[in-house]
Amino acid sequence: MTNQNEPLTPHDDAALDAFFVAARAAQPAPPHDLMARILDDAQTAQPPRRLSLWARLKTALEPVGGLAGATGLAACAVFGVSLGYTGSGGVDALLETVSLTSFDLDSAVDYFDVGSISFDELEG
Amino acid sequence: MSMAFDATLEPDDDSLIARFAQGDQAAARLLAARLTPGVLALARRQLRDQAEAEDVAQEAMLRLWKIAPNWEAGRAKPSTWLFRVAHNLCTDRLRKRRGTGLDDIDEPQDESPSVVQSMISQDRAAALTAAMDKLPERQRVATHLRHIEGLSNPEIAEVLDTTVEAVESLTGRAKRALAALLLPQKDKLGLGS
Repeated sequence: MTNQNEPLTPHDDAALDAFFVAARAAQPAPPHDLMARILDDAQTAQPPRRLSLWARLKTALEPVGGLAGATGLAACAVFGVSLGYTGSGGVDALLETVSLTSFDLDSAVDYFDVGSISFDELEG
Repeated sequence: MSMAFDATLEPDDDSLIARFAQGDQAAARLLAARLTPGVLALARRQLRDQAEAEDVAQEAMLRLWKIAPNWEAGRAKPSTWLFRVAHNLCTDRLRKRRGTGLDDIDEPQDESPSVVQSMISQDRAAALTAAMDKLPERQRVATHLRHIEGLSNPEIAEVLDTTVEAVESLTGRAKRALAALLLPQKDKLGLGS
């Protein structure tokens, strides 16, 4: 028998270890339904997936047709701007088209006959 | 050699928690498979009730899922943290049982199964369970964590919120008590010299 205050002999210690070895081997696996409940909890408790920058960009572009749509829009924009600057000869050429470079105030007054308009007419 | 190689392939618990927090359900499956058996076994040892032990294991794992986004890797070992959570949940349940006066689990059970059984491994395990059921609760938990789950004394001290010296005392007394209960029966359990 063992004394309450004495350490176990190596022989008794080894014998006791045989019981622990047997207990470790006899550990039953968790039941399947418990594992299913735990995994259900995991799914419910899981925080929302954090999207990468690329994934967030794709989501943001969905209203304009996704990445392909955005690429098309960007290409059109670049083409339009380049056409505006190179195809028409620049801002001066655009102004010439509408004859604004040689605007003459006197001829405009004559054209609209602004001098014949009286103040009464303007107030009326 | 192969163990070191395998170790590099197996993600540790901290990595799996981080992966779960990023939305990886496969990490949850690995964590559950790895950690649930030990938590369930501890709860079963402490509560001696399978249904209640399962509830505790589920609750402890749920707390792990919830804390995952804020888990600080390297601060506490996930398994030790879980054992502590499970132990506290079991203690709460035992206090409630005592409060109702229906079952004081620290009393030795008159009708506990016989320690003497046949000469197969399962009978030794059953004999050990019967003997451990006669130990005071903290001795039983400390012995289970040390000799069944393989925790170190500092880890057990963390689970039980006590000192390493107290753990050594608990496990020492438990082993002597178990030896007194089991060793007289060792010949009948196939452990004769």
